[in-house]
Amino acid sequence: MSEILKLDGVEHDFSGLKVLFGVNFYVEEGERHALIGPNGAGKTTVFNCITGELHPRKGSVLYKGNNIVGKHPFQNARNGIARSFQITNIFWNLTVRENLQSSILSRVRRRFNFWKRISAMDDVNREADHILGLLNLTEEADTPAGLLAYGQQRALEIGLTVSLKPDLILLDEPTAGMSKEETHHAVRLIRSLTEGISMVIIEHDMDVIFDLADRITVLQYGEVICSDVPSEVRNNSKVREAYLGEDEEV
Amino acid sequence: MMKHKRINLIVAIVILGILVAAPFFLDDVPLRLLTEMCYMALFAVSLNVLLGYGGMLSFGHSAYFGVGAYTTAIALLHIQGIGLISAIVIGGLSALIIGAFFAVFLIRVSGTAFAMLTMAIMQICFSIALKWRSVTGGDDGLGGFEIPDLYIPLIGKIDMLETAHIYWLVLVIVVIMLAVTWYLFKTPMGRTIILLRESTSRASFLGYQNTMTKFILFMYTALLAGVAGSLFTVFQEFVSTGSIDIFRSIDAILMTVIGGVGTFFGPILGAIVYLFLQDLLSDITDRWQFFVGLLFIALVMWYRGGLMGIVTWVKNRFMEENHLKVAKEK
Repeated sequence: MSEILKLDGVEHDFSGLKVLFGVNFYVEEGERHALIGPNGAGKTTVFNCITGELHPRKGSVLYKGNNIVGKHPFQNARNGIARSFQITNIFWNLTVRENLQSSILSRVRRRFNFWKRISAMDDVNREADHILGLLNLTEEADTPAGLLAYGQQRALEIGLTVSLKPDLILLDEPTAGMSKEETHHAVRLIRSLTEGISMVIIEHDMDVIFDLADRITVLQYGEVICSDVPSEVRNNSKVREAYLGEDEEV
Repeated sequence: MMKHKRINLIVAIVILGILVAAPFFLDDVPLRLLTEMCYMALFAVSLNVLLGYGGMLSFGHSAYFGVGAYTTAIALLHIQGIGLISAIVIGGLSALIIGAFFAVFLIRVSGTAFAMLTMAIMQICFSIALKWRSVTGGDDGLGGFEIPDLYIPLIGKIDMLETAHIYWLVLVIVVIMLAVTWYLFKTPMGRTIILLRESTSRASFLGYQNTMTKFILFMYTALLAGVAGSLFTVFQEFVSTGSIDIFRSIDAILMTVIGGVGTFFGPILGAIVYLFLQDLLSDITDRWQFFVGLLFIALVMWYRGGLMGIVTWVKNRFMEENHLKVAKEK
């Protein structure tokens, strides 16, 4: 197996306040990788460094063997890195179908096509209908995204991300704010939609992580304290300290 | 669904038919008002493409209107034997080029900074129009040019001495530009522009290069405004700083908001109502703007959808009742 993503000594600071102190970890092709850690550990900052939203001060981000530090988010998206957001970021005034069309149109490189109507693009619409079905949103296809229930909006968030057919998918707390029932449903959805795609997922729900992840990286105060398979992470003393506090008998 | 489409098509054809036939039943004065409504509707739509679809408020849209108006006037004045269509094309293209130039700065900012920068750009253009007397005539304006005959293959020459002829010319060009714009927002390019309004961050993480989209958007909207300005010059046979000052920018904003931001026909309706009220009220009082202002405040406070929102509401209600009737009969 080869590595699709490798972070090597990634450091970042926000005007002097250092948040990442040399982050190292790698993701193998086809792997579901979880990124966990206490609040403020720098998980979302790591995501932003991978997607190009932030440019790390030091270190390299290797994607398929190429250093992508300095590339813009739109370039990385075109190269197959897609992300979802912790705070739902969808096109609120567009209908569910229009949301998905926008993602598909980008992937098939018709962003600036000004001569053909979207409604006449059968391939795009067929695919949108297909994804609507997978997301269980067929009945809401013509509803503005802003009027959907919260769980449906989160599903659409993931739907937009996977419609890009990425090679690497980054999910930032996909189950944030969901009930137990909704979380269960979301995990099943993620599982079915991302079959075979390399994935990094930030998540707080331990059940979700141990259910979904092939390997886990634990981040604390901007440093990786452990990166291994779930069973090893569970028994790692540093991880226990980070989550349960020192000197505590477990 | 198909039935609705057919009704819309019939309504559109009837309205177009009435507009084309207007010179046969309208006197000179109302026909002149109608001509003004046509090119101001194009100008308002141009602003709405930026504000309603792109989500960016410009206070300086008159810069492009003015550039179109002035270059057409200058072309008619200085280029011997220039054709009428060429003069209008030159006006539109100059606005597009100026739009591309200022876009270099405008793509870097958003929100309030964007609105302020557009105002500054408009002021620069206004100052040039005011101070570069040898070219623009300063506050005397620019006139004394003749509107050349329009030559159409197979039909021949049409003079531009009659209001009706100018009206038809303006109508045809405006309808073509509006139809192209209407179609644009059915295509991926139009969708890409709307994504700017919806969420630039989401768009960029989906692979959309927002700066490129903005660049294209600014050029296109400048082109529309520039053509509106050119038609203004052809119609008025005169151009002054009034075509490029902030009041013309504000006219377009008021028309757009009154008609309905983000709807295609809103700004057109807004331009018609605004100019109609101006015509009607300025006969009665010099303070006509006061009443237009009241309408503006009322719509912003109680009905954000504008007049088009009211039209849609009535239409939906009517259609729904029809549906209910059909259902009951079944």
